[in-house]
Amino acid sequence: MRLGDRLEEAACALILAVMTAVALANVVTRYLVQYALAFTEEVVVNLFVWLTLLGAAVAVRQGAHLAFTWLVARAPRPLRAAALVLTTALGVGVFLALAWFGVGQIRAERALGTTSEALAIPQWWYTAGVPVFSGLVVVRLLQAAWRTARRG
Amino acid sequence: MSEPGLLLFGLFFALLLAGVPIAVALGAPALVFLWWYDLGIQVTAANVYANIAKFPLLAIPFFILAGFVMERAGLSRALVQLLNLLVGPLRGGLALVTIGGCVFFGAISGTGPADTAAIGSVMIPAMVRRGYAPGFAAALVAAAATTDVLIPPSVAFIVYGVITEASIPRLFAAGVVPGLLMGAALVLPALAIARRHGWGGEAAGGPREMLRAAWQARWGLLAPVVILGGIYGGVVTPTEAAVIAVAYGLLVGLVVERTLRLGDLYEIFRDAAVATAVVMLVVAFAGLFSWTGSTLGVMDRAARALLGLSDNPYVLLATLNGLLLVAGMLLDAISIYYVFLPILLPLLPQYGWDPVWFGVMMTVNLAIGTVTPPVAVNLYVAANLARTPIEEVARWAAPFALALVVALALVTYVPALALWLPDLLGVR
Repeated sequence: MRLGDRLEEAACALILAVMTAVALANVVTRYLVQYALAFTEEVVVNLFVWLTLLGAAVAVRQGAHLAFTWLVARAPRPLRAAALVLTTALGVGVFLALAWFGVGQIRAERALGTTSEALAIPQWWYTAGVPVFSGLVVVRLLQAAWRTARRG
Repeated sequence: MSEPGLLLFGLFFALLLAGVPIAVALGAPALVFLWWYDLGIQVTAANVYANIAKFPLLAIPFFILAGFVMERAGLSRALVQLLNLLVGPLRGGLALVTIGGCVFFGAISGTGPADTAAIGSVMIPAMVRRGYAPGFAAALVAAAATTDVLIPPSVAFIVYGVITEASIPRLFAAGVVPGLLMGAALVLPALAIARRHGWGGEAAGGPREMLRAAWQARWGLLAPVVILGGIYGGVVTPTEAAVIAVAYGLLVGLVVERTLRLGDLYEIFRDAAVATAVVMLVVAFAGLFSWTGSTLGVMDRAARALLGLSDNPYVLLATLNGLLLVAGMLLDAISIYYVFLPILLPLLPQYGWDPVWFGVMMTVNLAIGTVTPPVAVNLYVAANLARTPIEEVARWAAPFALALVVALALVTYVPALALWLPDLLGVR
């Protein structure tokens, strides 16, 4: 397995591990010390968005996304090729749109100087995950399509 | 086009049939309509972000992770050994062990495929060794694992609760009896088929051995108490309970039983992370689709059209269940909640239907969808474990799916089955 692939998977595992650790710390402090850590919800919820998009890129590579492929698998070859083109084009389109509007969102947040509620850090630090990881999904979609096309 | 809503739904189903991944099949038409009708496409990223970044939804990654941890820590194996000594000696006993194991593991894990993998990896080889047909073994595990969706904790109920603002603890409690009922409904066909083929059980054990097995299974037996006790003690939210479940599984696996090594953790976290992402990507885009549909005003009009189908609530319920069963063959439960609930929710006050009961009915229905091909996640996981073609497993699954539909009819027409327990416990 190539280094990039490994890094991607390791980052996923790490994000989930950090989410778990922070959430657990919150439960422990809330019940044992009667003191809620206000920042934990913010960190965990925003990492959750990163986890979803980064994990989506890994899932593209593993072919793990939910789809109804029963018909396509039984279709004649030219139709299968058309379905592959359609699937890839739409996937790329959706995630490019997400990246594009994510950048727009970052611009707006920077212009307004929006900060996060609990930690008061610039909100766009969190939002940056949207275009970055969406871009990664696009790369993975193109790679997967290339692999499938070559296999025929 | 006079009705943009029809086009929105039509496009979604057309893309779905063409094999486009569900998340993209929901997202692409939504984006096109947001742009074409100028409904505010600029907020796409913010909308997708907000669909994921919800505190109650955090229970999903943690319950998925807890399921992975407890399975790899071998908790399911010990539970199965105990059940084996209790009912294994009966004719068709291993089938009973499988159903019981799936129901009990349902109280530990939050999704059907996790349950299928946890119990199936132990029971499918065990059944095949005893001469059971691999297709039967796989189908039974897949069908019995549908109870996991009803028995708390349940990822499906969390999503339903987030969409409808129904109480998640109340939904959890309301799922218990219907979940057990589904398990019970499977016993009859399972025993009938096993006995006709002369498939047996395992050797019996004495009371001493049973006690020892119970002692060995103690951490698995205790897990539901830890997970659900906090929620019903009113101390923790479902998300916190999920985090506690992860910690409990890690503590048992790493420290107490030493069945997990630190090196195993990487794989567990990685696999749970990807499994979470697959579910949440559907949530993210199904939310965008649902929001687009509501903004277009499609949902209200579709609801009115449904109301026009029949004046009789019983006929309407039967029609709804029929529609949902068909939808469940093509789609996962979470997409169906997001796509159909905005249409169905306005019906509830019209007929005085309880949202929690309605959620349970819908969830039983969609749980059946995990064993009805072509899209049937449980069947795929089980067929994989049994190394049997999916078509073969699907044939064996037919009688089980039928038995589950009988359970669905009972839950539909006897709402007390769902509401009795939460009312008894006084869970709001």
